[in-house]
Amino acid sequence: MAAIPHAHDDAHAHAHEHGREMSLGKFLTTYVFSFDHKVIGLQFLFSTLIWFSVGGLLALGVRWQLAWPWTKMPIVGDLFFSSTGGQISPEFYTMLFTMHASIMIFFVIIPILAGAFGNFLIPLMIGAEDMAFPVLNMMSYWFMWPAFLCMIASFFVEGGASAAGWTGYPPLSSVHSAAPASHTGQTLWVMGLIFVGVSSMMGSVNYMTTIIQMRAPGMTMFRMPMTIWGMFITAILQAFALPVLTAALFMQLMDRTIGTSYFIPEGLIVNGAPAGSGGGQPLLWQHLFWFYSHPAVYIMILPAMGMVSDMISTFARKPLFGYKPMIYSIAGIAGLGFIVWGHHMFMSGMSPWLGTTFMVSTIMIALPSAIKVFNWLATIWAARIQYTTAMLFALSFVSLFIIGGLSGIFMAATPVDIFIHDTYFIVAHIHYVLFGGSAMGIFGGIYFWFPKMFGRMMNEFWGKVHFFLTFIFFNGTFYPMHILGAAGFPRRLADPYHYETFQHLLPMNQFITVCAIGMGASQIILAANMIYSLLKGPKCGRNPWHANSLEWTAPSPPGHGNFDFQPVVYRGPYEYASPLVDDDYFPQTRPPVEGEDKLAHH
Amino acid sequence: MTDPHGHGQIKLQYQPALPIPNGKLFLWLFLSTEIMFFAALIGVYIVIRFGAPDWPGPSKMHLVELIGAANTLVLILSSVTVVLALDAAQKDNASLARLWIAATFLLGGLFLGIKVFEYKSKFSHGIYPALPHSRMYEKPDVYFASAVRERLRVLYARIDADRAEIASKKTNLLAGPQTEDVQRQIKDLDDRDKVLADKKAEYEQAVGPVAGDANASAHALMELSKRIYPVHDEHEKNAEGEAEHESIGLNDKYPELKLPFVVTGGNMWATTYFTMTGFHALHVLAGLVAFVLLLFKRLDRTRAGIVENVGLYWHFVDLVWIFLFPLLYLF
Amino acid sequence: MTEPHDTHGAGEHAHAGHGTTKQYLAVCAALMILTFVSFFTFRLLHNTQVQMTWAVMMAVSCVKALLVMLFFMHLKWEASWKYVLTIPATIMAIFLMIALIPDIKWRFETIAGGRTPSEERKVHMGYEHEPGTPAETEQGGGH
Repeated sequence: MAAIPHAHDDAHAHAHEHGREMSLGKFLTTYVFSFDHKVIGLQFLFSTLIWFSVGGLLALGVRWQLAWPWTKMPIVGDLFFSSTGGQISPEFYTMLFTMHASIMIFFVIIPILAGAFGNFLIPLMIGAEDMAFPVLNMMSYWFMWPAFLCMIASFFVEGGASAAGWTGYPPLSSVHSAAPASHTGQTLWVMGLIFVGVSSMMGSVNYMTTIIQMRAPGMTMFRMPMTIWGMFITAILQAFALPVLTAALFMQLMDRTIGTSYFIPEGLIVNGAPAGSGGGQPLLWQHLFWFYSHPAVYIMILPAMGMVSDMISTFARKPLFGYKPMIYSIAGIAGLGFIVWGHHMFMSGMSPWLGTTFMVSTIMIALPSAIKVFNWLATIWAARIQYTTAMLFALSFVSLFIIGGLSGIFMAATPVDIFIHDTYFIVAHIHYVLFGGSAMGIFGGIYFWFPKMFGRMMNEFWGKVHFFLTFIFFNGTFYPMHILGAAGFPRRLADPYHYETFQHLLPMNQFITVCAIGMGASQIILAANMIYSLLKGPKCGRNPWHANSLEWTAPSPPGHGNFDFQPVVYRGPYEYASPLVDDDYFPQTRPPVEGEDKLAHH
Repeated sequence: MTDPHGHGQIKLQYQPALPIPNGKLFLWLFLSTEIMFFAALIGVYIVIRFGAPDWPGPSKMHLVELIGAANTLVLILSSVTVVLALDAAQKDNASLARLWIAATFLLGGLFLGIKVFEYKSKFSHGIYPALPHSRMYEKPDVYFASAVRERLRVLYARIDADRAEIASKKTNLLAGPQTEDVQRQIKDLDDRDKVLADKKAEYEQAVGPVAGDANASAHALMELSKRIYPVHDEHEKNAEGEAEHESIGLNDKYPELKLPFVVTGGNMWATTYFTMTGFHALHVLAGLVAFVLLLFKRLDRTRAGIVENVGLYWHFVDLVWIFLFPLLYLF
Repeated sequence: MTEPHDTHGAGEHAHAGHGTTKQYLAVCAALMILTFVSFFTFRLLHNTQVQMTWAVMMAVSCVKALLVMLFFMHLKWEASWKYVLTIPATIMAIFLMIALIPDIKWRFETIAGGRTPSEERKVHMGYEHEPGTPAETEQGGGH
């Protein structure tokens, strides 16, 4: 019996006693320091969307430099580089791509999936009134703020924000004098990530407890929607992988502040002075970092896979094909995800025995991933698909994930990886999986659950415009990167055209940048659609999509405590087009009908 | 559809999968993350420890195994007291439970006290986790030699400054009337000046000319490093401390010298030792805070769950130490 | 979230079963004896058979950890959920440590190979030299 649940009840009773007039205290407890999982989820959603735009703008900076190298960069050039006529410095370029990746991974994709959708959906979908530990939940959001502040501050310190790559490989990241941005900027980066880690850790333990202990009567583990399964397995991944990164980050922080030398090799001389005091091992950082960051790849995609499964089944109006295999393959991906991190390190000089082991285990991940893809395809097979915006995004998730997954198999093989290592092929792969996969899933999730979040529908026409523009510009941006990569075009160089070999690739880069600007501009439609619908969108009922899972039985938006009745679950969440009922959907809470036990196939 | 709070909220029923309270489940899951955290630390230690070409033994780093063993016993005892506190709380014996929690708190405090004592003995020998406080060098190289020169320069400059001050005082006194009191003062100053001069000569002789020689050979530097901080043999160590070492280095003989010294692998030893014991000590500290909070509560049967959870955490802290002790003190 | 089952759960759990004071003290005595076992193994054998002492001490530590978990953490009397919550973490922790080990050997065989290479590196690092031409750097260090 933890003290936290009591505190929560007391606080809420307190909040409710104080009348209906909007005092400052009530405003703060309702919207700012709220214990309510829905408010916390929306706080995560809006914070991460703001970071999404920041990360996107940084990416456009990277693209500008690659398309029109050393020309005057719009806005940035005037603001920071007036002395060089708007021409950015190579250090600034490294900072741009480092911060783009760090922000997109640690401040957008992970918190929007686990923090925003996880928080909002878990209690609603399993029939709980809130998380198991609401105060802890609130703290997990507010621990993001020191991280936000560290990241913002790092742009304004001397030397600029971190420029050691989002992987923060030492000694570049560990030695102060290694680069201008290795000063305070890198320290703030490390501290920011530690805060994110603490936040995610609190969130993950909370999610696991909630999902294990607080399901509505009848909601067995194998009646949970795939979204919940994705969140659950993600939480497990986070719980086991994140502490390792936290430990590594602490070590790097100590290397940087008190001068230990965990990751600084013996005898390293930087700028004419010894960098560290002892004989540390830079490779160790890579092991620890990827021990987290490879599972993190699945942390970034599994919840999206779950959400997409729900959307596809709902709009195909068919049961999800192979519900249990889907769960087992998620679990398989997660389990294998822990033993494949070395495929990021084929070129790092680690023991070659490990290389082969990691190659085999990595290629094995293709199996559960393929099971998932085939099950999605089987679900939409011969279905009367409702092409809503959410469904379009879900379908694009599946197709782009196939491309991203296939290019992943190439680089899983050591011999191929030696060739394409650190080229744009890798950049293409990660964006197909992370943007084409996770971000498309997130967009779909926003269109799908927006009615539940705010009680209003989003505009479908502009949603589709947003979808088609995003989809086309996305492929225009990232597909050519495969070709660039095969040509050997290196990533993380401010001016690859310095080498004659790559000069002929300039026009393709310009095309990519134009598409990237188009893709960035398309997101304005999403923002406008969200803001307009939030205020003026048509009101919707409890179940606008005629979906089965529990959250659609709650009011839109759900009030405090979520449910105005005791939800009792009688079946799985994917009973669409059931012959037993007249409707083409069969909600989890509807009492059993005659003959159902004979037909039960889940 | 009952409405116990009177504002549209109903009490929902759940179907828990595990027959334990949420708090306990939370704690076990939290401990899983903690296990991974310490697994990373220990894994890093193993890689650095066994990947290092040379690693200093405990006695070389002024680490006393018996103190570590004593600390282990303290933690084990505190684990017993906390489990007895839980026993008492479950039997609804609140005052006894509080007594045991207080005992646990004191034992945890004792553990930290011993830890502070150990840290202090390292610091006093110039062993810090890292530069700039650390005076430890990996090998007798040019950096070591220049650090020794710099340290001696500072030391001698201070002595010279003191002597100059004495000389100026003496001049002032000589200029004035030569009373008996003044005569005594002058003699006093002369004595002090002689002490300082002797001291400097002693240092110079002890350290030897090699310290001032920018072109000293590697062999000479090696000899110097051995004079400053002799390689203590395993057999010489004893429970009482360092004073009984047979081969006494300059840093032991003249503690005020504080010369840089050479311990191969010593910096990585310090890095791992301070990190691991430091993170463990932080966990002990968190446990102590929890015990203080418990002391303000009536620990009857209804609070047994809280006592149990804090106890589980405390046993975990004990578990970590059970592995840290041999790894850090006895390997 | 103080739903009824929660408070009941705690109450029931309290009576689910636990050791007696005598048992706890016996475990405590065993732990202390084991601590001295590892201590004296170190004293007696460390100078002659290092690997042996490492093995003994780790085995002793594992036994101690098991005792603490079984009796003090009450796992001996818990239902089968204990396996779900303890074994995965243990496996992952051991796996992480084992996975780091191949690099130690590799490091010895290639990079470390004694202390000389890093010594040379130190001399060379101060010089400006063309990247990727170790032979030239070698000469550069000789000046």
